[in-house]
Amino acid sequence: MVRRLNGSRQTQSLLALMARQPRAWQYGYELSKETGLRSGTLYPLLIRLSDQGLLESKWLEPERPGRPPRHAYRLTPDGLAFARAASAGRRKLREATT
Amino acid sequence: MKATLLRRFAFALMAHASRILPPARAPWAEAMKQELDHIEGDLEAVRWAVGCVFASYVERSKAMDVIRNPYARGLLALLIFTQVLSFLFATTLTVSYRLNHPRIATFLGSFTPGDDYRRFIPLMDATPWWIHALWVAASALFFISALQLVRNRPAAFPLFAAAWTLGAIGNLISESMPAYREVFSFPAPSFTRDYLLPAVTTLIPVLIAAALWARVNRESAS
Repeated sequence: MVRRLNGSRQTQSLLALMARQPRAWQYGYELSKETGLRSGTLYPLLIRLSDQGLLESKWLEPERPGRPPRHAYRLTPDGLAFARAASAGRRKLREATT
Repeated sequence: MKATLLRRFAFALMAHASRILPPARAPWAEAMKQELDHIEGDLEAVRWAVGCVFASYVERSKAMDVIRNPYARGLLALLIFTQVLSFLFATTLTVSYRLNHPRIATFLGSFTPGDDYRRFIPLMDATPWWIHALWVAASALFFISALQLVRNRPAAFPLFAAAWTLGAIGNLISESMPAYREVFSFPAPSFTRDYLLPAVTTLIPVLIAAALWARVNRESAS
């Protein structure tokens, strides 16, 4: 069963960050540092986004030799559209309440 | 370069997370594990690994459709409810003794070995309030777990595990107190008291956990 995404602050923060560089592949640890999300929150979110078809992933060779390959993520076109729609929705809500 | 103790601990935690994640999520386990090699600080690596263990339990609990049959769920929830009563028992007895309600204390005492609550007075006097707080918290979590199970929610298992852990910590501390050994020393051995009751009280939570866990494994394998 695929769960529906909720609009939690954590989801929004992750989507907003990934939407800023939609073509770049990003790593879990860096995403964690930039969003401030702990791995315990980040990975369930990434898994859910991936299940929803909003996130794609692939293994990338390490930048430094001797290190293992890393799983990298970026939004799919659907994911990007979803992130932008969510961001526009939040903006409208903010404008309506101010 | 030799890995530090903290780094090895982080890898051990990550290995545990890999085992907990449903098999269908194996690439995610690998993804979390590989990140460890890219984290410089050992403490940061441990923090990362602890989060991954948490994430693996979240994913494991999401994968479970708990128990499909509502009667089986009801029966399991009833068994969990026995844990609620079991963990509230000592606190209720202590409160009724300390607030001077001898009738309630006598009634509860009739369910204990020896049928007399007064023999527990040294233990009730010696048990600090925070152990009772642990037991009450465990009871509350068991109760919520039972409710979640009836509603077929996957949160039932982590709640059950958390409740069991809290209760077990409380029990271990309580059993290490001299007053406990004083109260629970009996002149003659009894099969029911010494073997049967401890076996049943240990087996009930183990059976519940096994039933929930077996369901999880079937779900994730299918």
